Amino acid sequence: MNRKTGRGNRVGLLIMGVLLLLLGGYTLARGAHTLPRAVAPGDEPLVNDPVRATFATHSPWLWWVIALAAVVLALFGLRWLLVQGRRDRLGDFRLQSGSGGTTDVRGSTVADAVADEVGAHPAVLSASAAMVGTKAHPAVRLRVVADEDAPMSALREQLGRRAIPHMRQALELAHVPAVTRVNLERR
Amino acid sequence: MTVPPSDPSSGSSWSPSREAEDDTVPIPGSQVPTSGERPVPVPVPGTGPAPGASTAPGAEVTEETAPPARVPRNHAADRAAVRAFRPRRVVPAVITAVLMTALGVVVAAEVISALLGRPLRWTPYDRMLSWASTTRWDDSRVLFGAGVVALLGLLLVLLALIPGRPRLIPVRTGDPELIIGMQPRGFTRALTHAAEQVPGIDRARVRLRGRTAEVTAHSPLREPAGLAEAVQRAVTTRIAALGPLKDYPVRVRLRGE
Repeated sequence: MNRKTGRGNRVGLLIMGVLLLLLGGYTLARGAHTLPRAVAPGDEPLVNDPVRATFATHSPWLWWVIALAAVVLALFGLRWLLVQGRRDRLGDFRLQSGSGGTTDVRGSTVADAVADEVGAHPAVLSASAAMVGTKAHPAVRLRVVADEDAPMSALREQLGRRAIPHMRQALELAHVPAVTRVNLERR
Repeated sequence: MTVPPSDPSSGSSWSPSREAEDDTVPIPGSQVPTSGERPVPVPVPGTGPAPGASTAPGAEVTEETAPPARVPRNHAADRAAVRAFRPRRVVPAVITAVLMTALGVVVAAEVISALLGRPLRWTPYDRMLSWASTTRWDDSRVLFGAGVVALLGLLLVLLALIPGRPRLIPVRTGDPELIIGMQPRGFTRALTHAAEQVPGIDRARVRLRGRTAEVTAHSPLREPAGLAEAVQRAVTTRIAALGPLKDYPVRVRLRGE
């Protein structure tokens, strides 16, 4: 689950919501006889003669269009579903070192080193980390169980002044954003 | 490498020169060392019981509350922290996506199979067509259905537009690239323990209601003069030490046994 999924969900819900709103609103308006009689009469059956005539003249290709639209709808729905389980976990990535050479780094190794360094602080009971994002813009996601009696500044400093700068240095990157979820527990 | 929990000399941001002297500087391009030298465990200030009001050693309180005050207010950082923990709307998205997929599959299967001359007939569409041919737009059932559809649409639009409360309590870090969030349950548990450490309090319960921390504390004391204030101070001190982005005013309700 990542941020992109959250944004995608909002867009998807908005589109479907607007479509349903339009459909329901149109039917209500037509049923309430507020639309012009010549275009959308409310006292006609849902499927009336003009509808039949349209299908009769444009058959069968109109049905193919409907089938295509249904397939597209199903594919969008399926993709939307699959995206929910999307993880942006980073596997191995390659570093360009200054001398022109490259080094392969395992994402999990970097993440474990960060977690170890964070976990070394006395206020931290346990820590785990994973590298996420893209190879060009990696980020780190941490889960920390911290001593509830310790001030948050201890964790903030351990992360912001030690663990993350060290990781940035190792990866030779100016920016490695970190998202940390802290649970507080009694030591 | 030692941990300075309240080192007044430390600057507001990480400085490369300071790191260069650090003995755990990783060699560029290599794996990050898992550090040969561990930070020496230094007792963190405030690990003792929360100071009760009457016995509060002032030094400890200021030491505990000082660090959060040092964090500079950075609006970009605050926004990033709030955004990072916004709900993802997974449940409505999954429901909508499942319905979309099901509708698409059924319609496509029916139409294509009929076009190819071997209709599947999963749905009684002949009966649906005859119903639609005899039911008018102003039929009450049609209007009711349309109302339901419109309301569902409105619900989805609202779900998309209302940002929702963050699932985690964002912590002020002053750095948009360092986002920290606390699990609400751990946060309230910490506040509960802070209230329970006040002398004269047996047990307490803390609930977050909107932007307020509501403390219900039970005391066996007959005359709990100043006890509510002591609880409020203890909880407020703990909140300050945990440094949430938004402040939580503390409301205390004292109950006898």
